[in-house]
Amino acid sequence: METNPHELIRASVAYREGTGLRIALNELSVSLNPGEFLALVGQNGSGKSTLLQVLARMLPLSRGELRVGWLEGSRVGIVLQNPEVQLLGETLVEDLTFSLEQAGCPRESHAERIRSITERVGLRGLEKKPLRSLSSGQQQLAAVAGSLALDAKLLLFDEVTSHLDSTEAERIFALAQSLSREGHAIVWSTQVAEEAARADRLLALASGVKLYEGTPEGFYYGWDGASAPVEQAGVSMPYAVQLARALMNQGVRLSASPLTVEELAACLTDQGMEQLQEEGNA
Amino acid sequence: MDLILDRLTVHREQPILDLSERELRLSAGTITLVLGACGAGKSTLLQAVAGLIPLSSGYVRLEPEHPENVRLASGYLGAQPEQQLFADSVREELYYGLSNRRGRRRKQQAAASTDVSIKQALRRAGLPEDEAFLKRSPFSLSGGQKRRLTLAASLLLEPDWLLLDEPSSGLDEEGKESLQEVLLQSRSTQKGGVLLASHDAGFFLPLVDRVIVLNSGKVAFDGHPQALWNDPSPILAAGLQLPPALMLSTQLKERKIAEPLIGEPLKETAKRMAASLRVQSEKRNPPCTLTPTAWQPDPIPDFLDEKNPSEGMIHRQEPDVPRRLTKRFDPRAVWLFSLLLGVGVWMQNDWPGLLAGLAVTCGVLFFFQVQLRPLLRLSRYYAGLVVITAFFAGLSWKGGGLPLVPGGLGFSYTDALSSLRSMFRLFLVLWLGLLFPLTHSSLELKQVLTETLRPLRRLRFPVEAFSLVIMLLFRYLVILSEEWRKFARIAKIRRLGREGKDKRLSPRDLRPLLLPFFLSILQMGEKTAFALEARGYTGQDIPASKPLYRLTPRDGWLLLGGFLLTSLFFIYR
Repeated sequence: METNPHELIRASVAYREGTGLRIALNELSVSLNPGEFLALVGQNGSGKSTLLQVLARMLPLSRGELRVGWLEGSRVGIVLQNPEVQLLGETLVEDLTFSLEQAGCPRESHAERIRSITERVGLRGLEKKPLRSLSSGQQQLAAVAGSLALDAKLLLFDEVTSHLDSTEAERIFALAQSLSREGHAIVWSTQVAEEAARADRLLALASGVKLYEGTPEGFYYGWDGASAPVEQAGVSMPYAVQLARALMNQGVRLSASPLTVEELAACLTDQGMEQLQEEGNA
Repeated sequence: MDLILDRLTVHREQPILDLSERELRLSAGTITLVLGACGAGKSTLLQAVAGLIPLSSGYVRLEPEHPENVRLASGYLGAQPEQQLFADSVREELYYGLSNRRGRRRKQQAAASTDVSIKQALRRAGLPEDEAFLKRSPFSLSGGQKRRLTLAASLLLEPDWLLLDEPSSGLDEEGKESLQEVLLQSRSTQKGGVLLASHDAGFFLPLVDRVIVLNSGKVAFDGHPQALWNDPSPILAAGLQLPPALMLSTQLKERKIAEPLIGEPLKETAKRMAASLRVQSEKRNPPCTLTPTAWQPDPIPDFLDEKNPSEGMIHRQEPDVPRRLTKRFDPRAVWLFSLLLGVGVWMQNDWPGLLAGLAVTCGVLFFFQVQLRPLLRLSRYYAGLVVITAFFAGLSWKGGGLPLVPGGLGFSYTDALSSLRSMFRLFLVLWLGLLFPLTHSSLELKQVLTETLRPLRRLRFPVEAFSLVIMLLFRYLVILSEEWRKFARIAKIRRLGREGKDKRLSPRDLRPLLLPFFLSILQMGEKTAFALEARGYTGQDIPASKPLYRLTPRDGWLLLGGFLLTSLFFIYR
């Protein structure tokens, strides 16, 4: 099996606009490996959606190169903000049948595949309900199911949680995370800092240029006193990071760089004696 | 003035909103937040208060009663309001609402003062107010700016109550700040207040005076946000996650560390927390054996392992799409059958023949278990048209009488009936024609077409593309009628800003209705193309390993029956 990453090398996308050119992506290089969860952050119009379309091989590059690598022969699944446009059938069964046919799956094994996919995305029991009657969160899950039916190894999520309530948002995020643990590569574009902070790797864009690529810790905290990249990206920070940074300004030394409320709480309960030890040493 | 929601209920097929047990009084100068999971009834509540959907029971009123026409709808901003934009420039967009609102009283207002109020509204919504911005096309703005523009358009009408559905979604930090200012300003005016629904509890809880948590259409909590901060169980019971600050607060409370308070600036929280950490560390005896792993957060429930994922969802009453009787036949046979009968009915020219046609049609619809509701909905308009046409066909002018004198006007039942007869015939054929689309999904339709037209491929006929287009057309018929309803509602909101009784649709209103409608259709087409590609659609024919449909003896009987009935009709005609 091919083990080279699926990667973009100095990729640019430009559109003609009036007499000039609008550059949506500018010399961007990024690579994707199986089992990786990459968060994509940036303001509106920073090129997130363009990048997703390029990765899905739906948009040609103006310059640069897309090396398919390990993704050779596999399809790319994409889940959009409005799920209703990407669902084609009346019911989930019918919708998945469409995808399975496109993927060339023999008709005899359709029932078995549909059962395992609906089980996987947590929509078991709803296969025969009219898709329109499902909640938006369930429709998003159905869209993920469609990508799984195509046997897509790379799944792209384009701000899918922005119209969902917190429980439904958590549900689809958890599904994406567990799919990445099973070897799917995930790209999760989002405006929600709490989601971005839970990714394996984070890519920040500003005006089509890569601003940062690395761990979420590095993005939100920076290294060795250098200012954190998040400040230039113009995106919000998770609450836990905001509070942790305020605590640091108050002279509290935290044992780690917490990204979630759970991590911050764990840090703080641990904090009591650490501070005491410091004071004792002093 | 106070806004009173007096025992409101909204029922459709099932209760959507049930506030029948209480009278909710929202005081002037207050901000009320409605929380709830998707489908809990938040949007329904706001639309009901705005008067955009009919109430099943109860009243919405203002106290003291407004002497003039009360315009609750003008303060309503629905989810995704940016779709309502239509004008060539920001100024025109804002001016539309204002010109609607102008009654006789305001006609004297000079254009200059209009400009002043437009600029003021832009400022309040956090948008630039310079001439360059006023001239920009609303469509060239970013998503967040578009939302702010719709807020400005709403503010311009000076509504007493703001009714906001998900106002913070899609706004960046800056946009949220100006939204916060708008909310706080409306509190200070004391004229009215704000009722808003949002998923973003973390942002709104510190700002509001009152929280109503809806769960399956009923009030599960009604009180001060502080009460929720002290005991967040109603949020969890409504199926929502706690906002981060509240989650941390509950976790730290158990460990006796100073916790974040509601609405407290982050810096203050950090200060108190640091102090409390120092006190804690003094109390404890070193060396302490606590390690970061000693305390485990509550595990996030793994939804994917639930045995019954649909449990707790509001949609669980929805029945499965039934396995209709038509599915036991080859779809091509069903199609041909309805076509044959349609021809038979079409040949009838007298009432006995048509009544027999009606009986056969009803029998067929009943036999195939066609759902009546969509059928009736689709034929409602046509039925009205039939009656009106028949009426006018029956009118006749008896010569001799003077013009405009009722005596000169006659009504011929024979003429009316003959017109009714020919339209009734069309009606029956329409019903028979709907048999197939109402019992088969659009995807099945596509498959049938592909299978049937397969032989044409030798003649280089693009079978796959053709059947896909037909499928999309059928799918779009439903979506288009839904979109039309949505935009008609938006246009109604914008018209309701108008004072007095002049609420009729005028030619001037067509553009705000049609332009967003067509734009949304175009966007949908683009997205569908994108989605099709994403769904692996290549446009190439997927050769089936074996024919998808095979005619069985049962289909033969169906076709024979259709043929016999048509023959009878033919003989009778």
